[in-house]
Amino acid sequence: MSVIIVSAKNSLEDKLSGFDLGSDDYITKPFYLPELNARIKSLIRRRNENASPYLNYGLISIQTITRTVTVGNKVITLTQKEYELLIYLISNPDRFLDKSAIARYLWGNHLDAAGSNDFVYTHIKKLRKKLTDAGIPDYLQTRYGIGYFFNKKE
Amino acid sequence: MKLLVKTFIYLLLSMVPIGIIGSILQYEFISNAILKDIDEQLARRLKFVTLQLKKDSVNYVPWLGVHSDIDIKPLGNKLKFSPQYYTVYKEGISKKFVKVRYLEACVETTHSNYIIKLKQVNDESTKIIWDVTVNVILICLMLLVALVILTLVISKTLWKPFYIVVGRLKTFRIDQPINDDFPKSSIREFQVLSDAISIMTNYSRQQFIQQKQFAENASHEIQTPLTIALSGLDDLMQSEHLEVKSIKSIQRTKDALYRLSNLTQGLLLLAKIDNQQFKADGMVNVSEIINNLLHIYNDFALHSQITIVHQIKENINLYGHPYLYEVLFSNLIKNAMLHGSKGKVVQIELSHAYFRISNEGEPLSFDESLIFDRFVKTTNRSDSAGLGLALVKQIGGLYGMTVRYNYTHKTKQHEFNIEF
Repeated sequence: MSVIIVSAKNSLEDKLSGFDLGSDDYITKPFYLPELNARIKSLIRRRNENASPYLNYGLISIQTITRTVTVGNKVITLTQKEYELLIYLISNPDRFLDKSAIARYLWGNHLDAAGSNDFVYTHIKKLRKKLTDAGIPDYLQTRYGIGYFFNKKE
Repeated sequence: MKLLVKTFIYLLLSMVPIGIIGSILQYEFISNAILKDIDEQLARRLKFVTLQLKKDSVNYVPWLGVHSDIDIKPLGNKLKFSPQYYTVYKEGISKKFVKVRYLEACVETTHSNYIIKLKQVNDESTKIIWDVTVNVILICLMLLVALVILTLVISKTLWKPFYIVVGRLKTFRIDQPINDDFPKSSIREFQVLSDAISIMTNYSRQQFIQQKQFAENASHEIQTPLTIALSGLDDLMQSEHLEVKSIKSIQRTKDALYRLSNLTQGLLLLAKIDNQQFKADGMVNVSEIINNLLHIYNDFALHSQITIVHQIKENINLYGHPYLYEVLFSNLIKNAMLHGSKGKVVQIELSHAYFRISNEGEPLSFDESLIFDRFVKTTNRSDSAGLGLALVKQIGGLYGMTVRYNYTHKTKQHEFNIEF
């Protein structure tokens, strides 16, 4: 059994004491459901020793221990944030993800809402380019100019 | 000045007039008493002389002789008068003035009438009075010295409970539990003091705990409905039948809710710092914190085409709480990133003595002195809570650092300087 603490208490001590009590993850309120979703999935992967460390989505294959992303036999080099972004998208397929939620997931409180939408856009753009360059059809669709939809188009 | 010293000074000051008046009164009293005594003796002698004179006036007067201190003269034709006492100062053998008391009276015998003049040297009395006065003054002084010594000795034990209470007050910390009760004292005043302070400290501590709990509970209570609202909106966004207009409206609502969440978190953080709820637990490597933050903000800098020029001295350790240092530096860096002009440089410097960050940008749209106030923000940034720099000031103040802001018009440089 895995435990994720959901709490409004966001100080370092609270988080540390949460981990000390044996929780596997700690998420502070308020949060976006896709983030919780991504964290739960990550936890299940970590917990389940029998499960393969590979996370597959469409043509993308991710070795979550070494953090290597491969398409076919080709390794795609991603920055840390791009990797986190990809995991987030894969954990929340077929779901409308707005830019603010993505920004919050990637940078937390370090980023205010202002200007973050453009910022997310540049990151998405780079990731999208890396994926399409590797021969993956564009899984990411822009929706209404304020968010994205990730789906493997079967 | 100690209460005791002050008391002694007042005591001495009041002793001087009391001593002078007392001495004068005593002198008068004793000299009157002696005079009365001498007068009584004179009266007794007069009685005796009168008796002798009446018995045998012819032989008695010559018998007395010339050198006697009894002077008897015939009254002759003079008028009779009632007995009278008077004092005369006479120059004695040793050229000293001597006080002499006289009694003059008329006596009638069967043959003739006489004037009797009796004298008594009152020399001793002055001496006695002086001796007595000096003795009394000496005794008084000895008593005073004894009183001072005794009070000094007694006061040490007497004031002990007071100093214990004061000592306990000095070490009283509102964020720490009260270990022992305040000392009991057999002196009513100190017991009252002890009780009052005990009640006060317990009450303050209780209030503090309540405040603390309120801050935590409020945070929890506000964040929970916010989370529910945000999840609801997120679900709503997933609906396929929404128009773009509605989606954008939902997005704006979500952003507003997030701002509310940030605002409460910021205010609660300020409250927690005010309540001193962040216990400093040792030295914090701020170089590490700043380097981590630079790593995080690197993407953002790239995006905004801001060049970060930094000079971070390694292993700068400051006393305090790691979380607060993170908030402090994060807010300053974030501030520089958000307000820095595109394509310009943000300079960051950390040394043993200071942290300095500067960015190029337009002058402030408000008064410079307001920069660290809560809810003060540039007019074009309505989405910011306006708490970031207030937190910077608060945390700096908590750790006794000077936080300064300076704008140079020539180079358009906003600079924040923290002196450790």
